Amino acid sequence: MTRVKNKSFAFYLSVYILSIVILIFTFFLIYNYTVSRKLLLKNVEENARHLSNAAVNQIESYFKCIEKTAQSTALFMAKTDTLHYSSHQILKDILSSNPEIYGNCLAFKPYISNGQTIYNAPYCYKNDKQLCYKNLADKSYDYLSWDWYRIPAEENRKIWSEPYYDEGGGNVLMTTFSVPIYKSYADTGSFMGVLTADVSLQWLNELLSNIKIYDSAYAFLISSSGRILSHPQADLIMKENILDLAKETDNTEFQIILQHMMQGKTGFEKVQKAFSEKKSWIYYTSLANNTWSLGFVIPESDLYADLQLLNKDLFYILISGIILLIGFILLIANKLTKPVRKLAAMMHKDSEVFISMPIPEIKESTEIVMLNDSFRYLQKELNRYIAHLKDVTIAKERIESELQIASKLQLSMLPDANKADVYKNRIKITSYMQAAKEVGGDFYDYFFIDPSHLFFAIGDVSGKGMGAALFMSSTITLLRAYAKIEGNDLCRILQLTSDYLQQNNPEKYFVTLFTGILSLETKELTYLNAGHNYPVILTENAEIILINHTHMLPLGIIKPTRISPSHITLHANDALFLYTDGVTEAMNEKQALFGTQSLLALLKNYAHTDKGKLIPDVCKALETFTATAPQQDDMTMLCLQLNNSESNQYLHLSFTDIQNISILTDIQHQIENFLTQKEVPAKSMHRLMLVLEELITNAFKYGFSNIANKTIEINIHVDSTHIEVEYKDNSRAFNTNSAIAKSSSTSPELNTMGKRGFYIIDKMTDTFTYKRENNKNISSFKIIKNL
Amino acid sequence: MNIAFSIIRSENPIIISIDGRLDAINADSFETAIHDYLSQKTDNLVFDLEKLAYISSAGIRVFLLLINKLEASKKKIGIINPDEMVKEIIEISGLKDYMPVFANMEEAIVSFKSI
Repeated sequence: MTRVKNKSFAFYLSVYILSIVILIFTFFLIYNYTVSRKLLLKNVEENARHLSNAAVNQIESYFKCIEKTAQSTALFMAKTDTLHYSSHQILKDILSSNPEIYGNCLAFKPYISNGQTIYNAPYCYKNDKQLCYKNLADKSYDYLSWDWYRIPAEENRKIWSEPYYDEGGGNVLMTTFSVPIYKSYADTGSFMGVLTADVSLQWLNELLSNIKIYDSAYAFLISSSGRILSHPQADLIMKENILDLAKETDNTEFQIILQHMMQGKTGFEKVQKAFSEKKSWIYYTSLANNTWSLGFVIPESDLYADLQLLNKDLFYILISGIILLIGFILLIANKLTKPVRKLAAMMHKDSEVFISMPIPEIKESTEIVMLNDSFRYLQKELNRYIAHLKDVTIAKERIESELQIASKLQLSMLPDANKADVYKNRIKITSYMQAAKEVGGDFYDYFFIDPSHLFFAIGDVSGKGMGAALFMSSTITLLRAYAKIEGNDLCRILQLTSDYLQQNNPEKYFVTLFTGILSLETKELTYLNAGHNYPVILTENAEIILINHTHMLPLGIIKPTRISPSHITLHANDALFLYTDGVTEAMNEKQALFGTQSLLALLKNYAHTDKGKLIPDVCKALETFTATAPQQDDMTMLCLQLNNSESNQYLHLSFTDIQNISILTDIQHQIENFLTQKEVPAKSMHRLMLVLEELITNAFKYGFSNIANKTIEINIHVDSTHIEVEYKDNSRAFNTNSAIAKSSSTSPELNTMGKRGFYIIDKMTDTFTYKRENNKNISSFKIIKNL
Repeated sequence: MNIAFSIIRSENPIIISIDGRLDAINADSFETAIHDYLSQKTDNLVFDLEKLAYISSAGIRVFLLLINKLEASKKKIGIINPDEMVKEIIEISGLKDYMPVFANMEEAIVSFKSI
């Protein structure tokens, strides 16, 4: 098992949970910021308004206080008779008891005394905290022309003057509150003079700068004409018209606010920049008692300082929360996966180790316990399964070994290839069988029922496997047995085999069969086809002839009737090719069949003169066709090739129903003809005839009496060194061996008939054997060809 | 692939149409089904093989067993409309002698009706 390099459970848990948490927090943070900003803004505005109001009230109270002081002093002065003389002291007293007042003056209305116009304007002011006194009734000063005197005197009203530099008076930037004094209260006709109270702009500035509503917020004061009365930047005071300043900076927002201020409006507005570049809020309102306007510039950063602080805190909380969460997740994941890792490690052991390994007790979460239980169950099941598998394997091996034996046994039933070699100088036989399973239902067989007659068969039992194999072995055994007994009678062989099979066939198997007897002498093929694929004759000229005749149904189920074999005469070098349907129905991977036509085409184009290579070539073609597709059926092929050059080395003579010994002439004639053809020397020919004559005469003399159908069969084979003879007759048995033994130990003169005959045989032959088989005497002997 | 048969004519001769492949896989079930049907009535049989695409030796066995069964009651089997391949197999196996091929249904009915 290869391990896939994956990220750990902890990794996935962290990634997924953190993503969600960060998402939620981010959303929360943004939401919080937005909402609290909105709330705060409202709050801040209120607060700023209140603070500003408070500051305004404070400033106003100062002004009121100044006004009250001046007004009440004015009333008091109106009642003072010796005002011209005592005014100096009064002014001094007022000044020292009112720190907010820079200076004050009592400017008398000029009067005529002794024909002379008397000007009197005693003035007290502070200079370095020292009280100073001077009279402003100086031609160079001309107090009558100053607004602070002129407007109350002419217009009978109290006023706050526009700020001015009191050149020759207080000599500072100041604003002056002036109130007219009337001898009689509210009688403008009794105007006595003007009482003033000066407020230094410096003091005003100090006053405003002491009002702190926010860290970097500041107040400024402008007059209705736009003059800056108070501002933290001292150089702006009185020197600049604030509108010009705003115009210079091209700041329309601010200009509008300033215009509102000059018009005495109240407001709270945001500007991108005011005096400085900072984003700010400006609260402005007019002072109630005059046309001045007070403004508070509150930088936005100040307003939101708390909010930013809050968000900063939240952010830190978030970060530490996430760090904490990662740690927690890693801890949890580690704890959760520990038993899983333990279990996984177990699985990496060999299966033998695994099945016997104790599975640890785990008391984690339910799922892990379940997993652990599953492992225990798996282990138990594996143990059980392995035990079962062992039993099954043993049983299977036993069956397999038995199948192996069956397979070997079945193959051993087929003719031994060595046996084919024995025949090779007469007929070339090649064969092939491939069972689809260990054992199959196909078979072939061939053997000589006599030296010149070859019996052969190819068959295919329906179905496959053991049943078919047993049926096949029955069939092949029956055929062989009946062929041995019945010899040349093919119909009889098949009839008997069929009867037996049919009577002992509970499973209703059947077998298709092609059987034939081929005479090597005459090349006549006698055959019967019981529902088998048509065999093919390949002629020497590479023509093919299909033996397309079916004589009977396959054997096993239905009893055959009216069987009569067919005959066909083959030619020298003809080959007979037989096969089972496993060949034509070989299937490739596309489920296509090899087919009879492909086989015939292959045979038609077969160029080799040596048909011994035909079957291997067909096998090759089948392999190419089927490739890797598994085969469902047994495949069997049998090829018989006549051998011209060798076939006439044989002579087969068979005589039945012999009447008397005159047959000898006939036999002699045929043998002499054959041996002359084979260029056998006369001497050898003579010896052979002597032996045969002796055997035949002996049969007539001693063995044939009372035998109804006397038969003689002679087979002669000539090879390069010897002439081989097999002689058979159905005369009675006689003890040849003892006869030969006697003859060799006694003289030739002791010539009883039989003994003399065997003496000749013994002298004339190279080897001689005698046997008794099937009520027949069979003598075989060899004579050296070139004596 | 499945094999199915349908009874086209249920009186003598019974005509049965076979549809599909008759191979080792389904020959047994087909055999059982046919024998079940024939256990109720025994008559001459004509198989319409027009839709029989393939027949293997297991299929041949079914026919052999049928012939065997009907022989006892002297009834016969005939076939109509076999395709070339089926016809060839029936010829090779020798079944042709036991199951005559009729040109058409009418000929089969005429030929078998009187038996």
